[in-house]
Amino acid sequence: MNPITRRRFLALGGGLIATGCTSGRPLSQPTATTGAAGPSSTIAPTSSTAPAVVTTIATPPEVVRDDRVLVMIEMAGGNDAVNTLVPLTGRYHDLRPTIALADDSLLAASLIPDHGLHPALAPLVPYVDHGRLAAIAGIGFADPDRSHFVSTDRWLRADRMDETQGWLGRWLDQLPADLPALGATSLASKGALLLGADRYGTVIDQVDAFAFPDALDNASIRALAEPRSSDPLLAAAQAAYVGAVGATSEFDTIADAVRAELPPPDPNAFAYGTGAFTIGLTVAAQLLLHDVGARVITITGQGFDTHSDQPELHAQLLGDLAGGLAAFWSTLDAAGLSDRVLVATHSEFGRRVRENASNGCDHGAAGVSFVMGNSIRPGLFGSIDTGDLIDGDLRPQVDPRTLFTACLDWLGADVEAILGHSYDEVSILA
Amino acid sequence: MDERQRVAWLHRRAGFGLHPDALSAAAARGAIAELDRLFDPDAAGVPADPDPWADTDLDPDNGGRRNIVVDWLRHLVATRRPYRSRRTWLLHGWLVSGLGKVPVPEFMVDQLRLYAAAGGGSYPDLLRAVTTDRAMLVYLDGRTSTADAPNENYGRELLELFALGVGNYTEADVLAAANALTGWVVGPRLATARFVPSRHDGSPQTLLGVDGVRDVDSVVDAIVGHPAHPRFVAERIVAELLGDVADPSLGGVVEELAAAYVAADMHLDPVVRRALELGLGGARTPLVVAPVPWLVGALRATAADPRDLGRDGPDRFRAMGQVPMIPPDVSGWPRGIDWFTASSLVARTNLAAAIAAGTAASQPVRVALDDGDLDALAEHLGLVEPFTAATAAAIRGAGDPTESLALALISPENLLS
Repeated sequence: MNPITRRRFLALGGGLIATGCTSGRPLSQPTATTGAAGPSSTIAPTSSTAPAVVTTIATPPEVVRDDRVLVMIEMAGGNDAVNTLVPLTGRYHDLRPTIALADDSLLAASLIPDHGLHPALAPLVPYVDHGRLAAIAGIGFADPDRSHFVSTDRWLRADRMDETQGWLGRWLDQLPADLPALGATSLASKGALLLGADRYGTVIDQVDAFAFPDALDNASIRALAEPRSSDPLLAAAQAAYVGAVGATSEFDTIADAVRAELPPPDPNAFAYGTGAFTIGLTVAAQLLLHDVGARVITITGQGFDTHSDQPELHAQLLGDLAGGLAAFWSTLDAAGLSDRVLVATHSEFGRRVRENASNGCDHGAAGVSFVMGNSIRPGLFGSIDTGDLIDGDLRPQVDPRTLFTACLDWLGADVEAILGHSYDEVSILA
Repeated sequence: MDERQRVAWLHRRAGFGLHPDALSAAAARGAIAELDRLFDPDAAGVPADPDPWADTDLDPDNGGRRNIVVDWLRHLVATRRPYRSRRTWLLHGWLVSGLGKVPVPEFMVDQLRLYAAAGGGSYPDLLRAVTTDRAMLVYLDGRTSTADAPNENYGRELLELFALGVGNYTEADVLAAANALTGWVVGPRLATARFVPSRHDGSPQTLLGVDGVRDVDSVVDAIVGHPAHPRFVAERIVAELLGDVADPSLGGVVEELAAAYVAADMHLDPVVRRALELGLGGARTPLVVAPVPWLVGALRATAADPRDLGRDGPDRFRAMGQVPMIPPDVSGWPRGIDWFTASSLVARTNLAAAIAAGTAASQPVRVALDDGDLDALAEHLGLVEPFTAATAAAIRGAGDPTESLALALISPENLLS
């Protein structure tokens, strides 16, 4: 249940996405990365910092912007941190006689000591080894809550539960001018992280359906919005139509190119299929390649609520994430865009360390986040410690706002104005 | 509101709207008579609706998952007992299961049949029934929960989402409920769930301060006996049917409905009916109409054929953000302005264009447009107030009647009820 406050009604009626110019300030110049020949599934290191990649994508248009970009990936349902980043010591096998991963299946990564990665994360290992990935283990709010909905709201709102804005929505509010129509985009069914008091992001749930019908003129749809109603709900709908016309118009210029990159639809899939990360990251890469002024992109993948039959499902989800991320970075590397981009993953909680009888595990406390980019401090922050549990759950070691601080720093934001405090005890950015 | 507006409001909230001809007939009967008819269609001589899936091929290998969604949509469009159908839809979004985790069409339709048959009676009885419903046992993992290792999924959501709400129970209560509900299994050749004593934790649990809890009945008794339960149900009904609980026009309504719920021996229909009476009396705020009720309402108002939406109908549900039987998570679908995303509005517009193109020129909505009578068009759509100046100008400025009708269907006014 998601009660809508009056403040939020009013906020959404107030004006919103216009086609202003980004106020971007130069933070770093894109650096070209030389591609090399070879199978696209292989990531071969050519230097100590960036793997070279091969890609079959067409030459992108010239990139003129140099704003930094943040991609936030939500693993919705509560990702099982213990089987994502497996501790090599402790009671792991005792507590998980059925769903524990075999030691010899785990992947070693040089910069993440004492832990092994889930085998489905193989595409990410080169990024760990080359200093482009950090794992924040034991991330979670002190005084955790096992409700999906309470915990999700805490993560999205940076624990300011008296407010409805997402912490990136507060960043949007803080900008001196509106972003372009696709400047803040949610590639999911909702955009709660991008909901501010005065501005909000554009939600594009299905790129192959994101176009108004030919039978309706854009001007006709815009006409519905003027003059603006004094009723806040009517005004919110009017504003949303204006935003949708702007967003579809902008998206239309790149839609064919984006759709051409998408994996073919699964004819057997009905509605919510798997592959959300691969699809979302493919679209995200295209938004960046085609220079629509994207600054923040959010992606959500469902299905991590693995109370039962976890092993196959979890492997599938992590494989989708890792494969999607590797393809994303390959594309960006080839285009010389990687230096501009930071990626972070999040999930509302980790799962119970002891398995249940359903070949799964129940809601827990602390989890794991991955951060990827060329300007991070790589390796491992915190740990997955099965010897120090609270109520059977991983003990929170790193406040999520530490991650949010790094993300907001990356965007050049006023962190204290957004989070109330700069959580920089742990420095994730280099 | 005049009587026609009152009846139109009633049908938008408690049903899926009406065709203009049916709305005229209902308006002639009056809102209170219409309430009687909605809540006791047998007494009013309203013909029964057929089972939505009487002729549906449920075999997953023959598209069963798609078939049951499509056939449910057709049922909602054609229903002659709209409150009953709306009630099932409401319960589907409250006591949630979904095809993503329950890929067995038979289980899903049986759960909805349970809501259709028992949704207006005792809510505690409904909770008992759904606790051992096959789809629910799969969706929230009760089927694999055993004494040795209880699965907390169902126990938690029963407390949090179905009956009490966050803040009214502890983690110990979640575990106690999970323990007491262990032992139920679902099998491919079992027509109903089966209780397996060897899998059940029979030790007495303490749930919400009640000792000796050890089975479905005593779990539900302990939960509905909690003082927060009536208010939780009342708030849900207000949020579904009346609007913003915090609005001054709804002051005292939750308390009244919570008391009505207790007085009605925790039956749902009497408290829903009371809520609608209060709404007719002014206790209401605007509500955003979710995509599926909006789509059903548009099809009912225009008499357009849902088959004209094409074979990709369910995929268009997906683009709107709401596919029946595939809720995003156990909390069901969002409410309110969460539906005003660019993606969802674009998808609604595409559907509106298809519906408008499939609407016969003889239909009242088209006749009103041809007459230039936008007040009549708004009435035909069941709107309580005329179109705003903005919408009227947009409709008048459109290139042809089809575009005009599509604009009326997607107008901000028609996204609200």
